[in-house]
Amino acid sequence: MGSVAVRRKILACEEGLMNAIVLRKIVTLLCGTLALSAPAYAQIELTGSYEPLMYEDYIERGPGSDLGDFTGMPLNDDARAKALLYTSSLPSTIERQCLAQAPWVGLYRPLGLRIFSEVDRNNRVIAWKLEGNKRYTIYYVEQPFWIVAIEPEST
Amino acid sequence: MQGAMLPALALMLLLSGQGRGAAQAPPGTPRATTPFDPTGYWVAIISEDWRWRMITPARGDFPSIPMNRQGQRVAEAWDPAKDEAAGEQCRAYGAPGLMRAPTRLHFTWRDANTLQLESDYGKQVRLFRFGGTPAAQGVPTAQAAKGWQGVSIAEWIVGGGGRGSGDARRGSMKSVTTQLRPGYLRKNGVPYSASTVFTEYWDLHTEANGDQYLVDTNIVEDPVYLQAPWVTAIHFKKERDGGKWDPSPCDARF
Repeated sequence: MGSVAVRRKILACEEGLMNAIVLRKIVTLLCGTLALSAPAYAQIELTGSYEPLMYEDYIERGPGSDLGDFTGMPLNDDARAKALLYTSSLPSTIERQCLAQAPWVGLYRPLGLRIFSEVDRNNRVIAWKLEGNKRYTIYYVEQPFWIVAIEPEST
Repeated sequence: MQGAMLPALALMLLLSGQGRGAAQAPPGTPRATTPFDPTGYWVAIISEDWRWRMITPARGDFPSIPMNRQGQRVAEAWDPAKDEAAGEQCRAYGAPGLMRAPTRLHFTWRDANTLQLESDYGKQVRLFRFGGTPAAQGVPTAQAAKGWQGVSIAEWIVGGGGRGSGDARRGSMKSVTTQLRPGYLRKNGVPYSASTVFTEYWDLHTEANGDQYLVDTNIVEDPVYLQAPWVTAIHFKKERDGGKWDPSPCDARF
């Protein structure tokens, strides 16, 4: 009974607080080390090739969920209604062929990842480029705090 | 929701560089030198593996865990009635299983060298001892005898804050748990053995709105039932107080 109550409460609680969570795992694995590093111009080395570990959300990231199966995603009614309109023929239309190619989806998929740096004239790292099935760049900007800008790149 | 990934990555990069010029923490005990404050109440965020964490899966439903054949054989023989009869209904509440459970956590300092973690799910208690091996920590023999939570040795992994660097101290807590009583990684009988080594890295992330998330990166290594380390990351959100704390006993079925 206690366990049931706990799970129900957590379920209810999650509705309001999970908006920015589902892919944080990947981010953490990539950036956990970075969080420990000296901040100025990212004085650790992230350059290299990485493989995804498919130990969480295996079904969603691998074979894919059934249509209409949004288990674990805190969708609101509007999002759910829109998601239910999806059909597998949608990406076959030219204007929608990149539906599943957004950069955040790329890191969630079972694809490898390559990271390399961009340096300034003083050889300081000013940006990290992440390249999977898409490439995007994370820039450091000091004004006066470190600000990170993300610039997805076109294919 | 997946669109939050890049902002989250951006925030972490930002956080890695914030706090420049902050005061350096004084040297002293692990409690005094903590690079972040883990104390308080936290609730598990179950947006990953919902179908296996929020409900008890059927026998044999164990994809994504890198078990070997021996592990699969044991998992396929799972029988919660036998566990109940044997008084082993807490098998899914041992440290490697507990951290993926739909639970709340309460962190407090038991003393200057020992961080205590309580769960309301199964009413478990974990102790993170700083300062070396169990023997060096003076862990009593009786306690070292395999319990559900084993023996956890912790350390701060600290970066920044060097003299004159202008950087704030920041870092992770690393813990290594051994001497575990055999239990389940997943509620439906996915086993781990007494030889398991459970390594965790705890990191704190603060969002722009002040929300705090504790990320517990898990590495479960079991030479008996796993063919590779099982690596996952669990997220907990900071709660204002213990108002939602709701202790419940171990349950072998739900």
